[in-house]
Amino acid sequence: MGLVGAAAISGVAVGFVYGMLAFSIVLLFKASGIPNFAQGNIATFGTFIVYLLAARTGLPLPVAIALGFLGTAALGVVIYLGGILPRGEAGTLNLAIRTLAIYLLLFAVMNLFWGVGQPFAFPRFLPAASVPVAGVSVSLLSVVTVAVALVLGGAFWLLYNRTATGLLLRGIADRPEVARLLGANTARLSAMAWLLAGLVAVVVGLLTVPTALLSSDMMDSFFLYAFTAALLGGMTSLPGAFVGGVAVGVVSNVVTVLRGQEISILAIFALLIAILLVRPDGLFGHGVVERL
Amino acid sequence: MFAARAHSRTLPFSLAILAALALLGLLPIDQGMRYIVVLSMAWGIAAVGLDLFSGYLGQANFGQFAFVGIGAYSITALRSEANVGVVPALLLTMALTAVLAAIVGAATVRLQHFGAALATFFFAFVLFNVLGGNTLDPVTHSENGLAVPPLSWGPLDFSATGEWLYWLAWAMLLAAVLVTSNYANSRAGRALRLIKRSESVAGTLGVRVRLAKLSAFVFSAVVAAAAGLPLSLAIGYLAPETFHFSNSITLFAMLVVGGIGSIAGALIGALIFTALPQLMQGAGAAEALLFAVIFLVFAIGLPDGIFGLLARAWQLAVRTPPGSRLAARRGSGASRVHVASAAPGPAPADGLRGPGGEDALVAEDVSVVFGGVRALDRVGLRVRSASIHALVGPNGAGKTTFLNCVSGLLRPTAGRVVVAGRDVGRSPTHEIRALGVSRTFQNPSLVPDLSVLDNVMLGLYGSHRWSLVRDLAGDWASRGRQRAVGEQAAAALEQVGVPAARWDVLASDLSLGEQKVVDIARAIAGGSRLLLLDEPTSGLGDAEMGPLADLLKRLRADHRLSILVVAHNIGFVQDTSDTVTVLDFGRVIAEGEPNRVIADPEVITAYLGVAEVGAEVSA
Amino acid sequence: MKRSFWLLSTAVAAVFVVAACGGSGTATSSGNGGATAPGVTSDTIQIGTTSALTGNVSGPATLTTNGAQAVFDKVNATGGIHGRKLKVNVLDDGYTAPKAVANARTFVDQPVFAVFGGYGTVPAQSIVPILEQAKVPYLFPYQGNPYPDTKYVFLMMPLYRNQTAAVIKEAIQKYGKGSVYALVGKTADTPQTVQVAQQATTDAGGKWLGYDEVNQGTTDYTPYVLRMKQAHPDFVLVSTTPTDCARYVTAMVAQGALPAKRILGLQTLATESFINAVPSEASDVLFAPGPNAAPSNKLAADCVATVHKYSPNTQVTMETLWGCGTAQVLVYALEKAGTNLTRDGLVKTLEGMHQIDAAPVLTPISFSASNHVGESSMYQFTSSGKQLASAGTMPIPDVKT
Repeated sequence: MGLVGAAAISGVAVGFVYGMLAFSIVLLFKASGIPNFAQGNIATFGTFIVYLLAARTGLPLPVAIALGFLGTAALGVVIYLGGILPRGEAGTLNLAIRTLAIYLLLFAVMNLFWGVGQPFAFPRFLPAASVPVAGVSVSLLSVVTVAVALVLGGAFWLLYNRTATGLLLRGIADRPEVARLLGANTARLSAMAWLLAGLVAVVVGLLTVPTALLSSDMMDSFFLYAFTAALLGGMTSLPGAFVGGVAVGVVSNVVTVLRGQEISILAIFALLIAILLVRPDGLFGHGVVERL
Repeated sequence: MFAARAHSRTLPFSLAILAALALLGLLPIDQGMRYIVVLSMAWGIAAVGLDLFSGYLGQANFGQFAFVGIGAYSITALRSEANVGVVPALLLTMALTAVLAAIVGAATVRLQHFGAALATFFFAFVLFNVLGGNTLDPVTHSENGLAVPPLSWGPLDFSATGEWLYWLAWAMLLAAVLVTSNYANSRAGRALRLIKRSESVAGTLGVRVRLAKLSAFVFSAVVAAAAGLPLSLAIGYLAPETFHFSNSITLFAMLVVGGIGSIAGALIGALIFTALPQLMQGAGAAEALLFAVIFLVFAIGLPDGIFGLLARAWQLAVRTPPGSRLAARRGSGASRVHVASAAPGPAPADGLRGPGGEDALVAEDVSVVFGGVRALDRVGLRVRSASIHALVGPNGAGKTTFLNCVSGLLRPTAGRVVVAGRDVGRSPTHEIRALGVSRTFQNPSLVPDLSVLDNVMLGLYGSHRWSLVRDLAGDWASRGRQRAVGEQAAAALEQVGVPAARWDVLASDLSLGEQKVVDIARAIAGGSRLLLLDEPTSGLGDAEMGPLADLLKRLRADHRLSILVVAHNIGFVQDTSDTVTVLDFGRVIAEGEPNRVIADPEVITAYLGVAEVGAEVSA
Repeated sequence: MKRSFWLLSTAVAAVFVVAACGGSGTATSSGNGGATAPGVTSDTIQIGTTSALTGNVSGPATLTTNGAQAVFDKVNATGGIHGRKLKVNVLDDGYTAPKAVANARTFVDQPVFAVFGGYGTVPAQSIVPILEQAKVPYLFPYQGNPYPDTKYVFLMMPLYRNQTAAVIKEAIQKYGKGSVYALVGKTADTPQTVQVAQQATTDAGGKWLGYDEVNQGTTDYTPYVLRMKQAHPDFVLVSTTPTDCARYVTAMVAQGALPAKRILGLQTLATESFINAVPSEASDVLFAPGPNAAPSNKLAADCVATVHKYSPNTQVTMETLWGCGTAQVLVYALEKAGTNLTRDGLVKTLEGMHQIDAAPVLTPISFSASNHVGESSMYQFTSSGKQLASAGTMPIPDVKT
């Protein structure tokens, strides 16, 4: 197995991480129409909660993780209630800018209170085993990531496409007034969407932290690639997020191994522009129909 | 969904701030403070450029600071490596940036769903890596950084410690504010604001939407590149970290806090955000937190930013009643308009007759299929010139879809649409507009933060040949044309019966009925020949319906306009229309004279579901 | 309308004037009553420090600043320097050039007697020209890039390129001849670092296999590890920012690609945060130089005590001890310069130092008219079970480039 093949396999592995983060962005976008720029930092924040509980307070890791889920889900709801719901009719650009402000806010908080001494090594929750796949050591972590991604992806796809709640969630993004008229409690539904986004965020954070090491800017570089993956796949397509993620991961790693980092960044950029020129809605997305 | 509202004619506020900065520059302040203000002014230039794109056009651009970086590095490299003088370096850099922005912009303006925002952010990320990377190392010296050669011109010292750098930055800021203000308040700027409201509507008024967006993007990028000059001279040393992509987010924060869409707000934001941290030294990491909180609070609670607060305070202080501002304003088309009741109105057309005296509009077998749904099924229609033709039908019958086909927003799946002898089935919206077809909308789609008069002036967008350069040069370069446009718009408003006292009101403050009437004014202002009206009567009370009917009849008689009107009110249809076509589920079920069609049993069934005619039909 | 325009202008102008006066008020000069130099009065010496108190490197930067401050507090508590107390104006630069430049200009205006400390390459590079032009001494920033042709800049830590050559040479000497592969971050010195590393390897009889360059904040180090693994090196030199070093090394362990002999690095690896961040399989095979002794070393006892007493909330790490040590050298030099304190006098005093043990936690310091890098040797660091241990020193000679 040549270097390229090995790089490709590692690219798939990291691609699922990008894909999961992209997935959480898309799932919130489908329910709210807002691209959440704070998604990466929500993931980091949740991971910090788990870390502080487990490593500093000495709680057993599973308990810490459970509390981390709780805490981050709550954080998602708080962000919605405090940052998105008030004056929610301000338009998607304004709402997107708010998520930018929240990104900065979370970063500042993490840096201020937990920054000293970072990066931190997260307590191991998976045995450090690895599976040889054609000459590349694919860590158990990567295998678990793929498995979790598929399960989560499937579960949410079912939610959005096969349940009444899911349809309502999609409805409130498209046309909130109509949804309200149909009796949907839009505020409660939106809060639920943010709660779900928070839960997925913690999952992403936990799967990233063993390799990325915990620091307040842990998700920054992932986030850019994840957003790219979401756009490539189509901001309204859940499976598209994973396809996009794997594409980005493979292209990035293969080109890096052949030509170095700078060229690989240019390659991803070129890929993004090329796909969007041909299909402005991404590979699997669909456009917004304007009502005149 | 509306984005944050933009503000027209904020130049006095901006000039006031610039005057204050000039005053500050004359005071004996210490070097540290001077440096901070120069930096703020450089950031201000970039913010002003960004405001045009994000505030007036309403598009997210998270790569603005990358263009500042391109500007800074390009100017410095040209000066230090190629020994180019500063003025040619600046001009070359602006040209280079324009080309680069055109390439990036061409790809990104087509994107939906914040694709443009991410693509520009990624561009900033790419640039940051390239500046520190190997590909451009000979030019940028990558991580070693680039020392900026000091600049002087005769006795004037523009270097970092020199007195005159302040004035160079100030002059460039003034230039940026003037040009951007001209752009925002010109025909091109109005078009941008309409695009923000609705790209489709803008298309129907003759706006080349993609070109307009691209122009705005290139403009903001070039302004940002110019900011690179004072920035590089002030810092004295360029490193890639200085142009980290997070700075583009900071620029946005400046805009939001200062007041997006006001140009003056960009200045306020830049000054506050650069000066404040220096005054707040010692807060350490808490400063970043405070920064973020302020940003968030403004984004949620004060979307108009500090400028919005100031503007409101100003209005309270000065306390002019809305109408009299019209007379007091200088330089805009509005003041030159006299309320002449004998105004000729929209250019009288000879009805829309084709070369052989044909009908204004002929539709044959028009079908539109969406997925599995037949929105229109072999619809045939004929609007004679100088006549009023009504198109009626229950909700969802396909009436708006039909209008969309005629105006070019939709391509029919089958059939022909012929306007004045020309098949327009595959023509783009602006070409159809040029043929004299204009329309109104069920959802008026006026620009909410423009005045009534400004909105109607948009109707004249396609009627004069113009250039962006003229717009940038400002009012004085096109005074005659501005006046003509203003007068034509005023005449159209009088035609539809909107009193002059309301012309200065922002469209968002109008009632729905008023908005619909202004929509009609916008449609006829450009001298149209075929008028497509989409439910002008819905939302109007009985009292308003009469004048509207009279208006249509006047337009038909005096100006020989051909009108296709979608309406629900049977009485109105009976009163005004020469012929009626009834649609149901996308098919024509009746056509002919109003009285005959109304009595048609199939029509009654479609509308009421019963065989008896109720009190619907008023005398 | 015209009248209200000018009314508005005046109002805005007034706000600015007030702000300006308020702003420059924080930097009023303290007056030079009976003083010999700018920034010095009969009872104070004003020092300026620009440090990355916010941003990505705020952790280590804050530690260096606090470590130094503990020393200054102690000196002030025990009478000062020839009766003068040390006042330190600490300003945040967020690890960015514009802010660092702003701080430097503030210091020049204030004025300060000298600028001391700070963390990292970018701020240092951007302020050197300003301070040199204003003839303000710039002392001991935590970074290893050279500033030739400067009179007022004094470094403490050996240059990165010299560290690179020395660590390779020592490692080969200690652990036997072998092959070397390098991962370097994109810094100003990268081309030189690589050249130097290659030369040192071949000079010591080793084999140079190649290198990779990475930027800060790379998401996935696996491709780089794969390339390195392919080469089967005995030694891997990792030279980039602490966080990225840690990520790369973690990826090495994940891929089972540890070098046959040792992981080598510069002083960034001899830090607690790095050791704690990587798996112990990796930290146990670390070999790197450090500019000061480890907290567990008895040479550090004095600084440990000082920090515990005067800055009890500050964790004692390698960076803290660096701050303490460099501050002690500053104090030593100020004392030696005498009561008639001038900037040029300070420069001369420093240049007259030869193998002085001014700070026990650092190695012996020498400056001269032609050498402005204080340390010429560094402690050797290894780690066992997540504990840093410094054993002996290694000389860090100047590499000819």
